[in-house]
Amino acid sequence: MGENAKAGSPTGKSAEPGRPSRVGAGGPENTRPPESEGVELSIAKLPDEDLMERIVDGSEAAFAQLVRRYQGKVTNLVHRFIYDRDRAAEIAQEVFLRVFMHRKRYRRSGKFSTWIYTIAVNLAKNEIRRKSRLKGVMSLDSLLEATGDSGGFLADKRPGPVHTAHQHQVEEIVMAAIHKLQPKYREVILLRDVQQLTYEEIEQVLNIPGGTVRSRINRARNALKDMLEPILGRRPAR
Amino acid sequence: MKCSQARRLFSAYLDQDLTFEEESRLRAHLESCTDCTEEMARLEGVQSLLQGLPETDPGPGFYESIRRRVAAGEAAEPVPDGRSWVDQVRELWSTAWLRPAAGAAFGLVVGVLIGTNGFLGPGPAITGEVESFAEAPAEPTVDLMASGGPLADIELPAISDSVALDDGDEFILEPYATDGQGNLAPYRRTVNNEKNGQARPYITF
Repeated sequence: MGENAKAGSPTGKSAEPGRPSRVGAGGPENTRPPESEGVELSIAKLPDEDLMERIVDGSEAAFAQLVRRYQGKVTNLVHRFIYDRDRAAEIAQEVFLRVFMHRKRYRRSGKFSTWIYTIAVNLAKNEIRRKSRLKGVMSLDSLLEATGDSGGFLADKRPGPVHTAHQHQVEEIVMAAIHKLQPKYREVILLRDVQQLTYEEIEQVLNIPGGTVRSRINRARNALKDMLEPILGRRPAR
Repeated sequence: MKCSQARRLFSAYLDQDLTFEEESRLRAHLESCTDCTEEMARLEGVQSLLQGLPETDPGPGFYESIRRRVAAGEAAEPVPDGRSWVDQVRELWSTAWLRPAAGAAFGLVVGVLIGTNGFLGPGPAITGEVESFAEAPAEPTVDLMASGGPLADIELPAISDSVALDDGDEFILEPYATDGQGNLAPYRRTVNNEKNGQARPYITF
């Protein structure tokens, strides 16, 4: 298999001095890719699609850059989808593993971002199918009840521990509401309003028609509006 | 414009997806309708709550963990219980991929098993939608079809990750069979189905 040469040794040998290292070529003792600072700076400016080309050629620096660029976005998407932060980080790792393993299948005709989000969404869906129920998750009703009469806390923007506590409370409520949506509505609203993808990008990620994307986003927003009514009602008039 | 018509446009308005004419008519309606203005404000509130969610920190050592797993030839998704045959094949294959000798042996064994000269390797993931349900054979099977006809029918062990699917549901499957040119061979797979009392729907990809 030609890929073996590109992928480097599985035995953990160090990369050749003076050359970009190969993904998988270093042992776990290495804490960062050994590329020079100049190489890293130039790689940081490359578009995703160019990074993928370099990854196919065996550049570990390019793979590290791609991971840095997307690790937060992918972990965030999976976390919001499955409502399990620890498991989300594991699945996000799996997403990047698959990007690497399947790097030769990526085609420049499509955006890299839609490709990686497709992998992430599908792994998140698989996870949901495996899990019969969530553990340690408070219901939306109990979370809303816990906010009690602290009306107006959404409007309180003053920094400080109280505001931070309120932010966490709001995040939990919003997460619980998102999780009450059916997966097909959850995925579109997360891709649109959390990941900020365009309709066209969502069509590609989910492989569904544009009209379906629009109608699902509309339904998801309205369902969330109904669920979040208690805290939305406290928002100051615009 | 009626309120019901206006509200159907709210979501598209938030995404700036309305035509100039639609937006003008909606704005005119909002200026004269307090209820719709408040409803729009609540939808904007939903959007701003979602957009305000902080990005999840993947935690320390994220990249190093991936790097170790790449070096170890690990590719299977960590599954706490019940791996599917796809995961098991993938894990086997990924291990072989990083070990040429094992890979050759693996390919030979599989080649003999399927009785063709076809190349067996990871194929591209397929995302599909359930098109139809029909009666399926008693045992789960995968039919591997090449452009000229079937490559082979492989009897698989029981699929462990049965999923509940319905018409129109989307799913993903990562086949591990391609033809000699590395092209994905069309195929069909059966899965168990727990929904609507349909025991073994036949799913066509």
